[in-house]
Amino acid sequence: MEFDLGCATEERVDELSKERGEPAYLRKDRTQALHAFRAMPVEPLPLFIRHTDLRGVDVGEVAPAKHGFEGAVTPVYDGGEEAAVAHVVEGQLRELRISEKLREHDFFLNEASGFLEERPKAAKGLLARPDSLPKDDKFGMMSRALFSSALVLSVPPRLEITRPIHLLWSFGDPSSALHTRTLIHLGAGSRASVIEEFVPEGSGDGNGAQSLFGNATEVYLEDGARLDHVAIERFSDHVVSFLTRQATVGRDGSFHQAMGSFGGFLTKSRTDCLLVGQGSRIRQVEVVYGTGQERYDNTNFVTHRGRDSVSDLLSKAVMQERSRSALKGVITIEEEAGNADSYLGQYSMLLSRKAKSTAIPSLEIMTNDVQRAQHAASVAQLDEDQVFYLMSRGIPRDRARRMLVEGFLTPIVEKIPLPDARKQLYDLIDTKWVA
Amino acid sequence: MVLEQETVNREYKYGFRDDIEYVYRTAKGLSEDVVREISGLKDEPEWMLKMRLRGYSHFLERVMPDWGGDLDDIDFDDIRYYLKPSEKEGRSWDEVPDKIRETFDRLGIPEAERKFLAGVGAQYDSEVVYHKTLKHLEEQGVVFMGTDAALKEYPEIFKEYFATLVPPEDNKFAALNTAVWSGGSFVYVPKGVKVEQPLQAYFRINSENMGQFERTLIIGDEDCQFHYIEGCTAPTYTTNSLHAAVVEVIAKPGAIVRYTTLQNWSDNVYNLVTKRAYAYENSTVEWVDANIGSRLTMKYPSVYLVGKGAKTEILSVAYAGKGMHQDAGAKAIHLASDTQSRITSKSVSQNGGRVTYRGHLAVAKGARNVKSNVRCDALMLDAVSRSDTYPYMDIEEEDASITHEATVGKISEDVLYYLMSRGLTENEAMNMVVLGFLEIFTKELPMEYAVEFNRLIKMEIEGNVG
Amino acid sequence: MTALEVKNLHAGVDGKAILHGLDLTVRAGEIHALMGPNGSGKSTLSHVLMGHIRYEVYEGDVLLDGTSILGLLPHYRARLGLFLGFQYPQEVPGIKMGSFLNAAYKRMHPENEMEIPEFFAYVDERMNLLKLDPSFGARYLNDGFSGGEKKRAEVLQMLVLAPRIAILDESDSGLDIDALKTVAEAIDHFASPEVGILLITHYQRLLDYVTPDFVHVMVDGRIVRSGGSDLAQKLEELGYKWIKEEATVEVT
Repeated sequence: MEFDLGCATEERVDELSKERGEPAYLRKDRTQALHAFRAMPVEPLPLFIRHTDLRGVDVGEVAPAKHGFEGAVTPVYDGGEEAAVAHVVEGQLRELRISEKLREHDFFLNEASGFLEERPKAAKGLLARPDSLPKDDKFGMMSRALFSSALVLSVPPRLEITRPIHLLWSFGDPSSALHTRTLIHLGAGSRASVIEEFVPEGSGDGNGAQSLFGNATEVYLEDGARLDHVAIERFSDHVVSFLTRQATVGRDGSFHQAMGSFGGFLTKSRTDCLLVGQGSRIRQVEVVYGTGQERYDNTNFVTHRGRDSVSDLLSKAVMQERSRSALKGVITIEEEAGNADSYLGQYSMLLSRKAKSTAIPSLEIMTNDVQRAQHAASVAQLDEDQVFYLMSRGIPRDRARRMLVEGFLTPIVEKIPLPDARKQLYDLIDTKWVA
Repeated sequence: MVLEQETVNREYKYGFRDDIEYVYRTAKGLSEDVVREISGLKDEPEWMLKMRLRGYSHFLERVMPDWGGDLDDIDFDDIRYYLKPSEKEGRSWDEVPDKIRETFDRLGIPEAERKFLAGVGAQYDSEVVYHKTLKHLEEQGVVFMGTDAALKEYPEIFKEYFATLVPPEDNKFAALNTAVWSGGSFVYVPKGVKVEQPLQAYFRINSENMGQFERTLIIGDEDCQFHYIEGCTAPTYTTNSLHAAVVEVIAKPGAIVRYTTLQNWSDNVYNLVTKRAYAYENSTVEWVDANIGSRLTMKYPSVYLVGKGAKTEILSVAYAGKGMHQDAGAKAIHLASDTQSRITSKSVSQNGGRVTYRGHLAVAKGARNVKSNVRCDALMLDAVSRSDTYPYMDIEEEDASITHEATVGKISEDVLYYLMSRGLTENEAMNMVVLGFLEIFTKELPMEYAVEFNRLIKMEIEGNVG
Repeated sequence: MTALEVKNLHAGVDGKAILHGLDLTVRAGEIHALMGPNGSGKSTLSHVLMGHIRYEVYEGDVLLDGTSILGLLPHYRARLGLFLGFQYPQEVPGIKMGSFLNAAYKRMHPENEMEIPEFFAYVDERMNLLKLDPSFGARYLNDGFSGGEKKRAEVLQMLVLAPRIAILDESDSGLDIDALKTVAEAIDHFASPEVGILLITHYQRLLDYVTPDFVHVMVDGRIVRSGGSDLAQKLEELGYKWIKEEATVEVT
């Protein structure tokens, strides 16, 4: 299995770096990432090789996204309730709002170029940090080498931001490629919530040509910090997207992540969570909803290194029509991670004979000093008895099925602490249903 | 007051070895000549030689698996591929050379045969040295003999099924087995025949740097019922031996076939085995598989549910102590509608041992109304051991009902305390909990085996207490 | 003569002191009832006596037949004739009740060699007393037992293992009235001049059926009042509040 990219060249990297007037270290970082990208296999783990599939992906010759976009931007959130908003359309920052109150603090949200200018010292630590992405992930390296747009969010220690921060990436230009980075840093004891969205731009189908979107999200939570992060992807059918995220969680830090995958030709996402601090935790819910011919390839890695660390991951996939999903995961409890508590659940519902689902919930446990190490998975269909029961109460069959699918997903959506994000996920689930 | 600790015998009971003079042995290492030599010695038909050469050529082409366990130390050139301990397959123990008979005596085989077995086969290094089936079963047409003998006596049946489930190209070690196979069991139970007592085979590696490559072919005709059981041991040597067997089990419509293995290799044996069964319409394949010793085991009994309404139940048990890696598991491949599978895996790791569960559950397109249930429980007895779980579930039909559950845990302090409050020492309490954890397996064994299995586990645990 | 003596016992768990100087002597032939409100330290006492690894003794001593047992692991204490009927017995799947009892009995009474059938007859007799179905012996140790079955199984173990000092921690809680009577009858049956019994209970109702020779009331890790069986009656009428108030007065 190969993955080549015409524009992944040193010339392109130099050009990107030069255009942006980047410091030498960043250029070097890009070049190193480029070499790593070229050298690495699509799937680093023998464990998953047979379950990683890029067939039909045809983005080798896509051109970098044009920056000349001039269309009207539709605000996705118009409630004005956000603490801050950044909206990047086809690679260009089109909207940036930060609430009055936040501006009084040492808070930063802007493009990486602004960060480099304003805080050159911090920028080096954040943008070129060597361990901020999984070392064996080809696509994280792709974004790191070729990003043309990056957002930096930095929250000072002990600041609690109660309202959510919205980050939006709109993309969909046919035959184009956009590589992006999101850098999130929370100082010790701070708290923030981020809703990051990957939304379609333009009319939709790409005129038969595929487009490529890459994003690397690098999250650092210092001791005692808590981040609620919701990432929703709902690209159009012609978009192939590679989303790589890594979160490093310090002592008593807490990473609550919710992910929704709702569109695109192929969405390949990989999330790594490193629980390095004592008492660090990750709670994650994931909804994958496939229709048409969409394909989802979602991998979750959690590494327990700190004592008393907790991981709780729950994924649910609903597959309609010809859609396919692979939910993969490895929870590793390292020898020094005493008393770790971990759970990984992967549940799929297949609603069509043409749909397909794979689940590989794996565990690697190096110590018996565990509080809990458990995983579970199931693949099931709608329970016809339940459908019948609802029909006997006067609900038409299709409505009954739809209600039951919602019932399958609701418990995990309810776990998301942000009302805005819940509402949005419910709306997406609702519109996604194919009768 | 009795306050002293009970002492335990920490030695691997089967670690003894015999000095015997082999009737024939090939030179170390593998070549086309060795393959031809083995085939020639056995005076085989041309098609079998061709099959062997097919296996050999694939073995050369195929790369080593890059998953599973560490195979780097296998030196294929340092292994002897064929060792013949006696001139012929005995029909009574008197016909077996004295030293070899003594070995099997020490392993308790003739005694067990008298007590509760319907038939016994005994293999020593490359060849089957003894084979016997109860007379009334022979009269009903039950065939239980060494695989080599079966090739001569039942060439048609043999050719019809041999290598149909595991083709030479299946994997590197199946290819190797095909090239140099020798010995193994051949079982054929005719239509409607029910064999009440188990048929047992015992495989013993005696020689150092030996490769044992038995080939077992088991055919249950329509509506028959039987239980085949096998045990394996080897002496403890400083250098490694290789056991690469292939087992093919065919359960025709309505047949109920149970296959039980108890592998207790010494910790210098690489145990790389391909085991596969086809379950036809409404048949049942029960697979009970326990792995106690070996340096590395890679074994995933696979049942292909090819006929409507077929069922399988696979029970996999593994124990890994110091220097052992058990990469075991099970596969249930649902190719037909209304098929059911249940996989239960229980593993125990201790003293740096590593246990891996690797499972595959597949529901193919067109296999409607499939039900499957997988449960893996791992018990880790100390902080230096390792337990991995890699379950794969590939589902291509919407009405399948699949569940998978796994837990990894330790023995709780409170349970130990509770048992100790009833007068058991900590070790006894630990043993008791482990045996209780594995009871789901032992209760499936004939009593004599269950007792032996419990004894082995106790011995391993006590020998590995840190 | 058999006696369990607790002297000025200070003990706790996870660094938290719970018992603050407890004195109690249980001799063969005596039935003691230890009562007290929730959290007074009754269960802590039972685990300290049996030697749970998590519990720590800060001061004082526990003697069995005049010899300290504090340094002994639980199984040695058991083999010396001490028995604890657990309030929350552990569930151990895979181990059959019958073979477990056999293993434990052999260790407690190595001098009494019994063949398996004889032993099972011995157990059956005691299961009858507790109105337990004979199939009970084939079930896994406490695994999936109802609350009442667990309590009866603990009392069964006492009858079978025949200790010299038996502590029953809340063996009456969660039992319906018929089961309570059955358990009480079994305890009565077990009582003899050779054994001492300590009943730990929150309620007085078990004592309607088993008459204790001594009743002790425990509050905040200490025995604050001891008396005859009438003390239990008084507690039933006035509740622990009465004792607590009195105890507070005494302390201050």
